[in-house]
Amino acid sequence: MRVAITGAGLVQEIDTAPEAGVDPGRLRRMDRFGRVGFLAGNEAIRARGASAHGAASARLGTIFGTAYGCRDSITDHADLVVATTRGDELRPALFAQTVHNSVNGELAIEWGLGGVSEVLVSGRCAGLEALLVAAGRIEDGEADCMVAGGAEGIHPAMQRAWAVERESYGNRGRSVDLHEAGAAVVLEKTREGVRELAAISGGTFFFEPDPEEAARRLARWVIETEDGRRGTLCVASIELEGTFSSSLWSALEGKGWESRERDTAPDRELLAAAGPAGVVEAVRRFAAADSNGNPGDEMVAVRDPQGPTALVRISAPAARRSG
Amino acid sequence: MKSGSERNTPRREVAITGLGAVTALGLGVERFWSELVAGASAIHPVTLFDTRRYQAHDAAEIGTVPEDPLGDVDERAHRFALAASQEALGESAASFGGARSGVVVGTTLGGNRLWTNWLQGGTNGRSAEMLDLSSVPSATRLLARRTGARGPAITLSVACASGTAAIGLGAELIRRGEADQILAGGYDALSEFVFAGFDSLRALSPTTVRPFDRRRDGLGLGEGAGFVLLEEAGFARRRGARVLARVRGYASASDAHHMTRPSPTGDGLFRAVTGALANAQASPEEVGFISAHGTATPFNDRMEAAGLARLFGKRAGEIPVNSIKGALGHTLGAAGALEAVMTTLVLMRGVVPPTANLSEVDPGCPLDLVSGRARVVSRGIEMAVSTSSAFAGTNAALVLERA
Repeated sequence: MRVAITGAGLVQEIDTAPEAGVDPGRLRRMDRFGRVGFLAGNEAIRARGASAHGAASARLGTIFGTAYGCRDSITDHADLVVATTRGDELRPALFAQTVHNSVNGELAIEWGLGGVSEVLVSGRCAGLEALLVAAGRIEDGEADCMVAGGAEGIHPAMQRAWAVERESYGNRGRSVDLHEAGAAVVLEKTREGVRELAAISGGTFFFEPDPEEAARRLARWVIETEDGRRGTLCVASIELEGTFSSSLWSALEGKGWESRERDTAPDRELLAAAGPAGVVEAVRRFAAADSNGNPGDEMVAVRDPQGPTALVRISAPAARRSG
Repeated sequence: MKSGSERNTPRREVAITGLGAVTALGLGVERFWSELVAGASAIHPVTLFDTRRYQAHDAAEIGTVPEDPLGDVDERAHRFALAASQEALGESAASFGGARSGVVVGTTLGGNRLWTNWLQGGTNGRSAEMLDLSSVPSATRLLARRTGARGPAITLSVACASGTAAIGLGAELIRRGEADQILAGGYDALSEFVFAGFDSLRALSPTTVRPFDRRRDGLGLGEGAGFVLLEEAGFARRRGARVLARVRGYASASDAHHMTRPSPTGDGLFRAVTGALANAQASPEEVGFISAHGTATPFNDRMEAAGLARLFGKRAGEIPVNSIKGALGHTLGAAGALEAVMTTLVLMRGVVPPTANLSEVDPGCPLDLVSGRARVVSRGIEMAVSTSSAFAGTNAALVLERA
């Protein structure tokens, strides 16, 4: 597999973020997940150098991953249903924001993305799953260009629930807060004239409740598919189980991979945005690296304590790779 | 994901080898089918919650919630998913599991009743799990754990197109070699949360749900689950599984028009069906049946007719079309999956169930709508299309082929 990354965006603050030429009222009406995903997708598309569109194209699509999606709007609508006594006191525009594919709809309207429109709500791995499903579609010729990423919007009620749930992870979870973030990339077929920032060159996702077995499976995949381009491996998720990362590194001992921490808010739980944030960081590292160098691959892995596990391999832009 | 030469192998075929259905028409596929063929409707006054403050009062509510054989699962929506998926697996359960088996599930809200209950202070002593147990992927993980699936475990949520998209993505994963078996489907439970929301949009019918009827005045909600067992065709053959139908193609497309109203010309639907046929390497001339989204809202049904007429041209008035939402309501995340189950049975049996409650076809919907009585297609149907459309402009389509 080799699918070009031609744009990247990373957003962490949505209440103060520049509004990127979009009507501020429209942004405010969006659910927080929708807003952060939209802003990240917007940033990635602008970074690629796209301009205003004509008719919507079936060859341009979006796929996002999230753990909790529109739970912000869902919570507000649920509270309103309980608090009101008449049907006409409800807010239809609020209910319309409770669909997780709102981020796809907003980006499609803004940029004429008339193709694939999907949201994976699989948990912490959903962001990396979205990148790999998108890359697979481009490789198979089902799409020319996909905006893919991960996003999370957090409602105060979710922080309260998490404050209880994290106790079950002991010291590992106690100091971790949920945090909003969105990270997205533009993926396209590798071809002449396309400015490649990096490339997705493989990946895997699966379900495995046992963290040590998940680590062994992931390590096997890394060893069986690496072809001399060893570089760094970033476990982008917060370690909540206590054994996943150590088991992974134990299985990869002596294989030449270096460990890298996530740069973006490494002590915060970014959920499904963590993996794509790690990918955007890798893209920026390639851009910043010495152009005479021959950088190895970067791998970004995410582990969800509920079982899903995923990894994406990112390679340097073609012009930078030797051989 | 494959990382090189595996891409040059022939395209893998995807077979449907199991079906499961839980709806207000009854439990199980055969009851689902017989009630649809009889033209029955399960839309009745709601008893789950008080509807007096709303304009509408009816829905297709499931009276007897299936039990969980292990007794662990309380959540209504999860029990629907468990029961339908277990029926789809059936005797194939013994061959399912491990790294080459996966689960792909579509839903709009997952375990949301647990979340809204928690918000109101009802924890049942499970507050530590509430954030995760009430989450959208909770049933997917439950199914993966119960079946031993250790391949992909993905949840899709694209509103009313979730079930169609889940089956489409499941087929895609098999075609790409990521799995040999995928348990794919969709589910959702009726709730005041959703009822109130649709009522606030004035989308619910205060009278009778009549898809494509000139008197139609809105949709009726429903609940349930639909599942299929998808297998790589060679894998199914080698283990002696009966192939019920094949998934030939899938596509998803956006209207890129408006967040709550569909494109009046059905642009996104047109692109989704066109894309699914291209993915199937098939032409519109080969399609012998269409399962429409057919919600019975004034906007949706006209939009669908416009999109289908644009694609199929003169044949749009000759291909049998139905909607089953007059029978079992709009089951949201389950809808596309239940329609895929129904479409598989249409291909197997050559009979098209009628569109319940349709008696005066809207002249603005010039399709060959099956109504009144089930239609026997004596020459059989070789290929069918099933479509779904959703809020935020997402559309999805499947192409299924007779085995």
